[in-house]
Amino acid sequence: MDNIFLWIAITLGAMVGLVSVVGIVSIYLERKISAFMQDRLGPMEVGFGSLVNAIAGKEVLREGRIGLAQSLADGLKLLQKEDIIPDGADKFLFKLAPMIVFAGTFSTFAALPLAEYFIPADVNIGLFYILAISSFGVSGILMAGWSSNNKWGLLGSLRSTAQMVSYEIPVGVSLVSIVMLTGTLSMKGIVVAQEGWFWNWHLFGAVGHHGLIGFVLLPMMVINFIAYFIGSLAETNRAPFDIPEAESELVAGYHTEYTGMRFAIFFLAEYGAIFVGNAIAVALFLGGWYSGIPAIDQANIPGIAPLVFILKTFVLIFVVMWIRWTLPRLRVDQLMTLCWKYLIPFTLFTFFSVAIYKVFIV
Amino acid sequence: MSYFGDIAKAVSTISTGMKITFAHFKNVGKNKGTFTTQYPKETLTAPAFSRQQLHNNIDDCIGCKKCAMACPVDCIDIVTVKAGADELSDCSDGTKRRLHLTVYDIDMAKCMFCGLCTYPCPTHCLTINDDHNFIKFERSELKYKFSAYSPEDVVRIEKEAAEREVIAKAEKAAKAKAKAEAAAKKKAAEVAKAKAEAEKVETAPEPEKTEPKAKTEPVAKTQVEQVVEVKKEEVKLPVAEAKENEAKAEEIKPTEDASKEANSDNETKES
Amino acid sequence: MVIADFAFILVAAFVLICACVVVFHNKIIYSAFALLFCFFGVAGLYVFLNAEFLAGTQLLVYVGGISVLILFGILLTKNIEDLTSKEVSTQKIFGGLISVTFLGGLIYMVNSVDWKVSTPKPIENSPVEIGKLFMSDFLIPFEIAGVLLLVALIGAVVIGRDTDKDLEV
Repeated sequence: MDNIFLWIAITLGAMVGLVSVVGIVSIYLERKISAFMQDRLGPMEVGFGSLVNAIAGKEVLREGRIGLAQSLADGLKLLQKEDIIPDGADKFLFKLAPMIVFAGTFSTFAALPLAEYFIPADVNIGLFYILAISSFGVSGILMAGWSSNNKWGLLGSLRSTAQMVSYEIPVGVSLVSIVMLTGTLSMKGIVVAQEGWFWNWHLFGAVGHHGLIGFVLLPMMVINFIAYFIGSLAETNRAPFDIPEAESELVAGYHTEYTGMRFAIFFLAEYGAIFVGNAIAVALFLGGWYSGIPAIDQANIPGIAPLVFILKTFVLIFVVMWIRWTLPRLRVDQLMTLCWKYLIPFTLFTFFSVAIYKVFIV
Repeated sequence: MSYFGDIAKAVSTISTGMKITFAHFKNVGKNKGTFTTQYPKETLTAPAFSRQQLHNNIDDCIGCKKCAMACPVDCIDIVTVKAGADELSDCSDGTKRRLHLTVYDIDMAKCMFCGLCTYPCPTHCLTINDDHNFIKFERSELKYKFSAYSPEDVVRIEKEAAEREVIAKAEKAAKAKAKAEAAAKKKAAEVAKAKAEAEKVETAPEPEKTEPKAKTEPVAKTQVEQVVEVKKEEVKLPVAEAKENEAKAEEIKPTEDASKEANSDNETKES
Repeated sequence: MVIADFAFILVAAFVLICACVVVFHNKIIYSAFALLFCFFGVAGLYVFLNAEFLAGTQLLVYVGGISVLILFGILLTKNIEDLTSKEVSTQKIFGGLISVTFLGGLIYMVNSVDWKVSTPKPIENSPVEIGKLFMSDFLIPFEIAGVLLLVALIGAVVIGRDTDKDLEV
């Protein structure tokens, strides 16, 4: 009995740590990458040494900093900020909303297969669980938008919800293709199916397992991957699908009225959701914790598997940020056109192709 | 088909855009890469003729207060004390200085950087330069004090000036008395010879007027030297010295017509 | 087992409280959010029955879909702030009587039925079994449900289509 509680505590602690670290690192990367792409330098002053010195009240040296501790300093700043709740807001729901949003993201971390023996909860419906629980966050966004009693907030949350509900369809259908191919909903099972050389990854049609006939799958899987990637961008409200928080028209969307730590929690949830979205892409299409070269995987280097997984995820996160700082925002009707007229037909096509492949060829 | 044509177009345009941003991303370490100036560590030079900070070369300032009058926002604060004869060195352009500048403050917090104060300056000692790096933590720190004197100096100078004034008043009173007596005598004695006498009275003040234009020193002295000199002169102020100077002044007199003009200008201001 | 019981009581209490809020709260938006949490709690109850797939479906369909749809409808309604369910509850006595009678009937039924504890072990990989059942024993209901949804989808498109304007737009 004690063991169970201990296990729960350790798992929860590790997950909270992971979410926070992922959030902090992502925000730092976002700021640096956006700066570099706009010919700026980004945060340069707050290194870990200067942060410690500043807290201890010592002299802060300026040399040799690249702003590594900027996100941490920002977090400390947000913790100290005044917690403002608008007069007209619905106090209870206003306070509850960030928790719900964060819970929605946080719960999805439970089924992420960081390594073969490093999955917080290896349930046999892992993928389905992630898809289902992430829709829980949608209600939090609605709650935030409504309770802040702000027209921008409400509009942002309505847009966000409409977008997330629509894009769940192409995302779901593209994932179902993978599920059909592997015959399991368990995240671990799906990753294990891609063991070995990188051509066994689903992105490359799992050629190794299916032989030359697998090349038929390759274009399907590439389309699937792209559809999933676009869908996950939209589901996490990232540019170019960031109409829910479109700065130029809605101020900040559903978190317009939030300040201090509540705002930080929204931010953390957003970056956590980006991580999860890309982690699913890595697990399903890019071989999960396998590095793509069997020699490395079999060398039994401790900690290499989660490292490979997180590295792959951050490569995808880099692409997400790269897209954000390149492409302009889509209009609402363009967003829906992309979803219903392009993504859904294509994913349905790949879905049927994979079904035919599974039934008649394998 | 336009459907697939649209897709192809989307792919090509997106890849073009992504290439551009990635090129910028790659160039970040190189010199052409970034446009950020890391301000406290590196600064840009302001454009030529930009008006940033006022500077007064106090050694050249004659205390005419023209700048203070020109200032639209009254940010220049000047207090002057009359100096004794030859207590101060001349300006670098030869203009005679007669006033101790006990206070010359410019409040840059009030300044609106119009530069109007610099134009009327007769000795061109007040300039507005392109040094834009004058950030301060307190507003009071933006009050730039240009006066060369320490508070003790100011006290001493004021005291001396007051003493001099007392002496001058006494002298003046004595002179006036003597004059009045003389005039009375003259009136009483010879009214008929008024013509000749009148000529004499007219010529009399002339040497007095030229007296202050003493030695011309082309190089302006530093503060320390000046102070030392002031002290020196203090010691040997007696009449003999003054007579010597008078002689000197008469020697130099013809060469400096220009500075004379400026001086007379100042005198009118002072009065 | 004690931990599981404790967790079950927690989840069941959560569901009950949420259900009560749905019924009794004055503000309709609170009722809608409570309904959402109620569905969420029911998904938790399914987990206790070893029906993870059903729990996931409950989350995906009821929490992610239907509740959000209800919320959408409420948020898009005019003057939502002033609307309270008090305006609806006019027949308190009659309604109360009927509910009490119904409650009594339910309690009687629960007590009179001889509940059996199922002995077979839970199925390990339930999605596979569910899929097999859908494609064999329950094929016709499954297909009919699919056709029904398709009809609803087409109907929605037909209703939502703007007939006045050119269709090419």
